[in-house]
Amino acid sequence: MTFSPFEVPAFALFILAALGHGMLHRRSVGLALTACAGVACLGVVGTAWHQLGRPPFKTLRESLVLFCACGALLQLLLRRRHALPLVDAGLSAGLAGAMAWVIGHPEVPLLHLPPTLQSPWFVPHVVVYFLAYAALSMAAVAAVAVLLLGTAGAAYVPVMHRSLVAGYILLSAGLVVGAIWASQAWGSYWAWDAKENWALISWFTYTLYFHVRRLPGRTVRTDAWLALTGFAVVMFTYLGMRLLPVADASVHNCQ
Amino acid sequence: MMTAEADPRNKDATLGELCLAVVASAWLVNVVQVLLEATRVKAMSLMACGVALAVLAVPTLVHIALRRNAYWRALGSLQFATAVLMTLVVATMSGTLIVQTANLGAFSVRYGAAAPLLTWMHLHDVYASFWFRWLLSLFTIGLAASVLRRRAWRLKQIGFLFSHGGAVLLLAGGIASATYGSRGVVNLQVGDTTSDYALESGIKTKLPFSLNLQRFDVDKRPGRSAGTETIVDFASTIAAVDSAGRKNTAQIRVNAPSTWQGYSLYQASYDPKNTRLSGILVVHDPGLPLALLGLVATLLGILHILWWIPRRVATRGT
Repeated sequence: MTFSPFEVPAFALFILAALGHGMLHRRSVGLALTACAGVACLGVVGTAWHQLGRPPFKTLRESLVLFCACGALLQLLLRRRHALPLVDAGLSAGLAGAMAWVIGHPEVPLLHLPPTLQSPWFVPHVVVYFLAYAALSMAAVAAVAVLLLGTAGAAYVPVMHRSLVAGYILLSAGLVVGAIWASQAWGSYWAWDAKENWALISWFTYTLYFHVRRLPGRTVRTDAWLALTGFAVVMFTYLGMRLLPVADASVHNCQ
Repeated sequence: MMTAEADPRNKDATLGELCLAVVASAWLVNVVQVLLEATRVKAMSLMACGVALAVLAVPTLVHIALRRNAYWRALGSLQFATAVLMTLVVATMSGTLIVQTANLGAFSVRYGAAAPLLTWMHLHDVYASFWFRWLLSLFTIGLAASVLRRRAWRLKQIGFLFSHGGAVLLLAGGIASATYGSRGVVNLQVGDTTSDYALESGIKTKLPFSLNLQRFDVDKRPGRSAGTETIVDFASTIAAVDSAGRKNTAQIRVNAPSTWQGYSLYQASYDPKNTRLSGILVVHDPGLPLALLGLVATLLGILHILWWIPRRVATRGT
């Protein structure tokens, strides 16, 4: 069984960060705890990489840890002037939940990556995508705040937009890196397989966000609903492929 | 200097203009598809058919020329873009919810009474179907029209040009790949020589050179459960000779193909029961450079619009 001594501390730090963001007025405590939680997640990634001798980004459990590391990083990077307790606490709580799932689901380690994943493109492709997912999760949490708070939620709109910009750029970069990699490995930059198609659908959804915002009659609520729809699509792309009838032996399947 | 609202180029298209533009575009796309196919198979009858369709399209072209502002407004409008994007979402989704297969027998077994309707609508092969390609053509036309409508070749709008024009290049590359490219497989035993490869449809085609498999190396390691082995790497050493006698020897491994004379050879598969058999993918893709250029341009354009310009506005206040 792979086990990293950093898993439980990461979980605990995310819980403390959520409490810090939600209850304290000074942001520095919450941000410091988020930074420590992120470092702990990187510790899990590092120990797994060392134990397995390969980048630990293949199975669902492994990728969730990367997701949490990216979430913590983006929470620190997408800074803003005023404290937004709902977004910060909500995101930290969500990441704590993800780490709890990781701790509760130990697995027999997969020792070797299939040959198709033994490429220098593997790590950049996966990391870019999980940074994108982290940014889009933050946007989704901000969107919930906007929808729930109504006019009082106006302060959450800039962070929602900024997270969407970061997430969209990263999604686009992920598609490009994936296409270049695929053209090198299989001679086809696009194979219309289920995961690629859903990545494309995710990209279309956020493209819609940027276009719909310029249509007459659009409100901030429209933007927020689009951000949430996009998040649902992205989460389905990440976790839902096994629900599809297209039984793929694709390299995109998480074991 | 007109404001964005007062500029007649930015007036919203009416629903009628949008519908007319879509129908006209569909007609023109069909003409182009027929003509492209004619150049690919070099059939005079098909070329004649394409020319005939183009002649019939003359009234449409005249109408477009006379009311070109209306057409550009419609095809380059945000409403059109939004409609096409939403349709693309649904269309792309359809091919993931319905099993995509060339095996119509298995498809009928799975979908029973609904199968004839689904196959008539090409839902068993969505991404190569005529309607999906038509939708992608509409997407391309809309992207090009949006660039032309905004006259986006000025420096200030370079991000718009790159993002929307880049997507056009990507889609054009896709059309070139689909029309002029070919992909197939060849399975070689160590010591075999052949210049045939089999396309997905089963038809055999010839390479411009012969392939000889000199070696096939397989790398095994202990597997996940005790007593099993997994193959972690496999590579073929191939000698190619063309009709003029030129030789090229290369080793291909997964993620490391070899290209010669426009044909790329990829190490695709192995046979677990026969470790002397190498599965090689053959790809001829003239659209690839255009598509990759388009992808990179799109990404740069997105960066310009969403990151560079807002940053400049924030620091300069322009």
